[in-house]
Amino acid sequence: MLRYFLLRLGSLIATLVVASLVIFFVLEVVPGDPASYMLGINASEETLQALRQELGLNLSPPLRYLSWISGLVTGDFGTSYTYRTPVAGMISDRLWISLPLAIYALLISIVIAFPAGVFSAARRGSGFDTGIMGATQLGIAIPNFWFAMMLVFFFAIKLHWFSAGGFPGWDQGVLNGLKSLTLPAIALALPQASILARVLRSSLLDVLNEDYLRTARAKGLTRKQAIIRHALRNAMIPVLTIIGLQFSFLLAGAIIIENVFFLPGLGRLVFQSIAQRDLIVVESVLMLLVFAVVMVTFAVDVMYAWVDPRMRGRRK
Amino acid sequence: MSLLSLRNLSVDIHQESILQDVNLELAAGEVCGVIGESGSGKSMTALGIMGLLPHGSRCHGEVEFDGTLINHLTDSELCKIRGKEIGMIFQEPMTALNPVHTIGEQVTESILLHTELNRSDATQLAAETLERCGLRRNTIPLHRYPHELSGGQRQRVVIAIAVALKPKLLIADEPTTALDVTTQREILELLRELQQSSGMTMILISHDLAVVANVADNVIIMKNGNVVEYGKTSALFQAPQHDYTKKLIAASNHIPHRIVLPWDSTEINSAKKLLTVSNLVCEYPLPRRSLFSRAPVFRAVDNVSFHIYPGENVGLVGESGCGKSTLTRALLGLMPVASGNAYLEDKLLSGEKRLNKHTRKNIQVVFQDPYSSFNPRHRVRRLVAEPLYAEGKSISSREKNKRVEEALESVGLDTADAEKYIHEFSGGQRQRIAIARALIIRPKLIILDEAVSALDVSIRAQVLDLLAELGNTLKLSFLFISHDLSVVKNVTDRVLVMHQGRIVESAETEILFTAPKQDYTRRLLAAVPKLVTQLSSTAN
Repeated sequence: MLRYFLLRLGSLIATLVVASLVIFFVLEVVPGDPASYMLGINASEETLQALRQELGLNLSPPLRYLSWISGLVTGDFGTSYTYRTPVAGMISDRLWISLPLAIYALLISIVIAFPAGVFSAARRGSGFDTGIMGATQLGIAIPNFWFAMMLVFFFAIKLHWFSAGGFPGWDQGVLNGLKSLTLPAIALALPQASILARVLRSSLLDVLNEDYLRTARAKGLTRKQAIIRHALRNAMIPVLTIIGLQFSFLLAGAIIIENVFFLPGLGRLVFQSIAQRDLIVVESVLMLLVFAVVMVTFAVDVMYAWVDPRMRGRRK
Repeated sequence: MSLLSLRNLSVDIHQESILQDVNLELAAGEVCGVIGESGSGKSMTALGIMGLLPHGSRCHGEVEFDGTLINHLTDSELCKIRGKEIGMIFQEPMTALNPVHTIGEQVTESILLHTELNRSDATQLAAETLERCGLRRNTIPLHRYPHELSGGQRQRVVIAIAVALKPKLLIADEPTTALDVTTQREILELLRELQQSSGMTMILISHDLAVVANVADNVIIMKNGNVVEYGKTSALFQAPQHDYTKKLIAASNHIPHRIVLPWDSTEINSAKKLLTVSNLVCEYPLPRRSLFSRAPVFRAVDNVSFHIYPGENVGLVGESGCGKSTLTRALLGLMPVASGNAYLEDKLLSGEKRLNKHTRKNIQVVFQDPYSSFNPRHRVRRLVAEPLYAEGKSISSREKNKRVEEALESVGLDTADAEKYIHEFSGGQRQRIAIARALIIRPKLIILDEAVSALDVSIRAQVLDLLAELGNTLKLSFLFISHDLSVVKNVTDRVLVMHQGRIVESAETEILFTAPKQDYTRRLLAAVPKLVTQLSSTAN
């Protein structure tokens, strides 16, 4: 188990190094000089030079890479070219919205998908199953920004249960914060829950045909007990994979929903920074997202081994 | 009073009749064998008793167990009987256990379910039961997972789950079919021992007449969902009444007509060898111990040398894991060879990265599972024609069709079958198609890798006849790989015994079976359940 853990950890670090190199050098070759973008077209050559000096743009690429990486490790993400404020602060403000939103949406998705998937697998072919499968089809098909607008229309405009958008800040109370994240989280969770429910159902159906389920029944377990004790854990591997992918997606891919609800999240930050050639912000946010994805993958790998002893490797 | 009575038990699934009016009386302490070929309804009878028939099936008639009509109970009432009063053992030990729970947990679970014991007492009982089933706690501790155990050990765990609560009735559905002969013998001994020590009633379901003959007091023979014959084991095997029973007994000991090579003549010894294998070694890499050390290797085939003459049938026997399959793969060029070489006539077979087409064409293979070795989405015409690419020259589609039809006819199928898909055929027909596929490029050697192991005895007899006939007319050589020694005995000229990657004994079939030299061969032969000796011993 420890060996498995260390091997995963090693590959995690290697992935991060490769990703940082790719991000840095790809953005290096992107056309556009941040200094001239910041100062406008009328800036004199001396001023440009001075700014480049200040931003460290005239160093050689390997040196810039090293200073960027050492900054990342120590928590100094540099200064935004556009806003002249520390990137670390900008990102952490956004992260405090995007991360809770992603977790919230994922939780909603799991809470909906598990019962739906388990019951429709257990009652395969029943009206319930057909209903759930139809609903999940719709959930995947409906564009989530449209669904988000419907949510706003009913729950914010008609019923006044929630505000239509914006974020008050966590200093206004955790409950208020959560309340304003509820509608976006539901909008994000809908397609995710639909996908997850379908994956769980088909994975369970595969497992339900396994011989050990028959053994469980022959032991005297009821159908329900057999599914919960013997089928569910075996059906978890593909479900964990999907949950991992969904979390990574929710963290950065919520840009449309962030726009619908006027939430200052990471997705919007990346979008704006790209538009403004604020490369240092783009680099840092990308690196952060890569880090998140790699960490989630690592967590999923560890959970695989926890769920399935066959993945832990040989016992000494 | 009988412990179990089946009265007119009928089962149909989606209007299709699976069982018709099965009647059975089982006295307490009796061992009843149920024999039948696939589709005879023997497993359905077992599942009918357990109330675990597949979804969509309807059951009529009565199942009376210990004075209660159990087929009228609700599922939750049945759950109190299953695992406590009636235990069940299944065919596939590899998949019958849940891979994510330890063996201790899986045995303990049924104890906790049916008794008031607390967890530590239940664990204690589970450990005792596993010991009773031959899994010593100090070698196989309770926290092992199924994948860390061998097939035989897993079957012992499945048995432990079934007998932990000392059920009155134990149903064993093909408990040894997936196991090696030596393991099969151990498991049958264990079952017999458990049955006798606790006076348990047992139903032993098997397609193998010899297995049942050695264990059961009474036997029922089933065919197409009907009981065709029922009686005391010795009486039934000595004087079978029903034609079908006679046919089964004959088929299970079938000896196909074959031109046996003239072994004592000197000319065969000077004849040109068809296949020559010398000092062949195949290795698999094992996981590395550390990042920088070289990966250790497992030597699956260890210095193997043998030869096959033209027209000769050579058997290769051994238990699972002995290296039979690796050797086959190496001969077929599907696996790299570490050292040594193999020649077909005078052409090198192994050692090269890719077999040249002309050499490959002379050696073909038929695998065990005739269904999964075909692409289900291609028609038989395409499946059979596949090896023709090895001809090395393009063949007109007319020529191709002609040869497909010839091949199909030579294995006793109709030319119209070429347009069908593989799922439209029975197991025996599928194996015929596999043979046609091997024959189509007129090979000199066919490797039969457990080719008849999955077939019912009567079908097996037909396929063996077909192979013998093809061998006679086409002058083919066969390398007959099997774990079933009784079949090997009947169809081969010479036998190689493989154990832990080495060939430990090699002799003419006659001599090997009558006077084996090695201990291992003797052990292997002793483990084979024999119908004939059983009959003669009960006759005395």
